[in-house]
Amino acid sequence: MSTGRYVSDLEVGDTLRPVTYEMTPFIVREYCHGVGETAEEFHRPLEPFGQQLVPPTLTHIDKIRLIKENCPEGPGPHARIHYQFHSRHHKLIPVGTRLTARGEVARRYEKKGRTYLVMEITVVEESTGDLVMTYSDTAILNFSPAAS
Amino acid sequence: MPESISVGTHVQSAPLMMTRERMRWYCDALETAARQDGQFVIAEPTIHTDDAYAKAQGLPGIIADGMLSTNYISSLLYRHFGVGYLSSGELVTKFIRPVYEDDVVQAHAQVTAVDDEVIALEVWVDTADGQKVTVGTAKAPRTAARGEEAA
Repeated sequence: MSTGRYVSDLEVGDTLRPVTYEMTPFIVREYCHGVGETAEEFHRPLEPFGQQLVPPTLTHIDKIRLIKENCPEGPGPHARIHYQFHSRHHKLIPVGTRLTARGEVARRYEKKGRTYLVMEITVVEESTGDLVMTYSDTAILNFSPAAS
Repeated sequence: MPESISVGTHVQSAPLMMTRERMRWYCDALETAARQDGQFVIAEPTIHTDDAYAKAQGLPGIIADGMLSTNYISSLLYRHFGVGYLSSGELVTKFIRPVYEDDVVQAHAQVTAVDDEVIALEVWVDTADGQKVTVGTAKAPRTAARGEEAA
C-alpha cells in the first residue's frame, strides 16, 4: 500500500480509501460556473427533468477527493498533468443524495520518459449501491515538456 | 441542433478564448466543489494558474487544465444529444497539446456510426488555426438525440 503521502508514490493494486459526500446543488452550480456551463437546468431544477442536472464531467472531482483523502501531501516532486479522461454514465447523478467514490490504481507505466498512472474510479449511491458513474483517469506524474 | 442524425453529422460550439480568468475560475471552482463545506477557495499555484510555477516546469507560461476542453465537448454533447447523454452516455478525451493563454478554442463532435440504440462520435477541440489540442470519442443513446426528438 503506497497511500498516505504523494500521488507519485501510488503503485498498481493500491486501493484508495473511499470518500462519501453529499452532491449538493452548490457543488454542481460552482463547478458549472467554473467551466462556463450556462444551461439553466444545471443550475436549478427545471421540468421535464424533475431535478437539477449534473454534468458527467463533475466526476473528475471524485478523483480530486480521493487524492486529497489518500495523498494529502499532493502530487510529489514534479507537476502532475492530466492526460486522459474517460467517463461512463450509468444513471443521472442524483443531486441531494450521498454518493460514495472508490478508486484503485489500475496501471502505472513508462512511455517516452514519462510515468503514467491510471486510476479506476466507481461512484455509487450510498443508500442503494446503484452505480452512477465509472471514471478512468490517466495522469502523467512527472510532466516535463522536454520529455515530449 | 442537427435535424437528423447520420454518419458525418457535425456539430460545433461557439469559439471561446482561453483567457487567464477562465483558467483561474476552473481551478478555484474545482477546489471549492471538492471541499464540500461551501467555502470559496483560491487554488494553490499550479501550471494552470501561476506563470512562475509553470515556467519552473519548463512551460512558456500557464496552460489550461484539460478538463476545460473536456467540459466544452461535454456541454456540446448535452446540447445536441440530450439528457440521455448524461444518464447513459460515454466520453473519452485525450489531451494531446497544451492550450495556452488567449488561444481561441472550439469544440466539435462528428457522428461516426449510428445503430438502433447508440450514436458514436469523434470529438475534438481545436484552435483557431485548426490544430487539434484535445481528441476523443463519445457515445449517446439514439433516443436522446434532440434533433430526432424534435422530428
